[in-house]
Amino acid sequence: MDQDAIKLVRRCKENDQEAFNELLSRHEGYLYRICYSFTRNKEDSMDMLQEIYLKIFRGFNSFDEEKPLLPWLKKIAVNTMINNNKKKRLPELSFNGFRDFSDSSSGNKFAMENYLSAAHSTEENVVFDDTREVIDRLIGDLPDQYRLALTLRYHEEMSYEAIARELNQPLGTVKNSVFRARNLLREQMLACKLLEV
Amino acid sequence: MQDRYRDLLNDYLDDQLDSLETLLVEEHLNSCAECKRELNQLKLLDWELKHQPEIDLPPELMEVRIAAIKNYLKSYESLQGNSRVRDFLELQVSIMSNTSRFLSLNPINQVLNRTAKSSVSALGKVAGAILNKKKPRLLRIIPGQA
Repeated sequence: MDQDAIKLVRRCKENDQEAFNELLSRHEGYLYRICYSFTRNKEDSMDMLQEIYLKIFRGFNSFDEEKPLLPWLKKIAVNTMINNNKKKRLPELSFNGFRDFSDSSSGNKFAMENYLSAAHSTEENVVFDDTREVIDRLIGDLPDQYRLALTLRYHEEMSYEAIARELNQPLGTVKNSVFRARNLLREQMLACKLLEV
Repeated sequence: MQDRYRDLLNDYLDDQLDSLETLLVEEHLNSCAECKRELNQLKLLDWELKHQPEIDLPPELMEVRIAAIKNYLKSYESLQGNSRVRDFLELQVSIMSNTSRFLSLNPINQVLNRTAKSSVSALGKVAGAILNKKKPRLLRIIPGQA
């Protein structure tokens, strides 16, 4: 860290309000985006962000000034994601189906397809016509473990090895999470006719 | 398609296979239309995931930041206040303890303590005699006089 950043962190350790404000304003965009890439909705991201801020404030005294700040902030964000019991904004999507979809049981698949078909028949058509919106929703309802691995892989552009270190998981588990996430998304997008090749 | 092949396709997509495995997968893809189609779907999905639109920052971010800082500092000060009360009480206990220790070391107290101890010792001897049924002289004389 440069001298200015070290000074800023030291002021934060003394609970200087201005220093907190300056430091967070520099990094809030990054933190919000990583939250959003995981939760896929604004409200949950904001809630998660507040939780992360609190952990940052409380953890400053244990932060080593010799080390870079951003990985420390990212670690706090990732740990918050791991521990976060996400509030569901779409209760109709939180049926058992998608949660345990890893074994691709057909019943679960139909449940998701039924939901999407129902949505198509309503005024949500306009929203669902947008591929991005659908992908957003599908990612948002992936099991947490898959979603987290996918976020780190695609949003953070991390290697599998780096994700394994970050999540303290075996490499095989991380790869499996990303592969399963992609296969779930592929199957759902096919069901919505969004992946025609 | 078996999961084993599916995982191989994912590994192939991520360039995670060694040269021999890559060769074998490519050979297989030349002859398997199903795997080829699935790989193309995965490539398309991979592209979608890599090219997601930039996430817009909501204007409320600043409010959330300021509120979080204020709430934290408020709770921190409240905790500090509690700890000040605790420090005060601990100081009082410490003063009382020291006062008590000082009083016990006071020379007059020591004289009084010694006197008290000797009194207790004398009483103890009388009590011991009674318990051993050896009537002390004092006790024998007094009833006789009565």
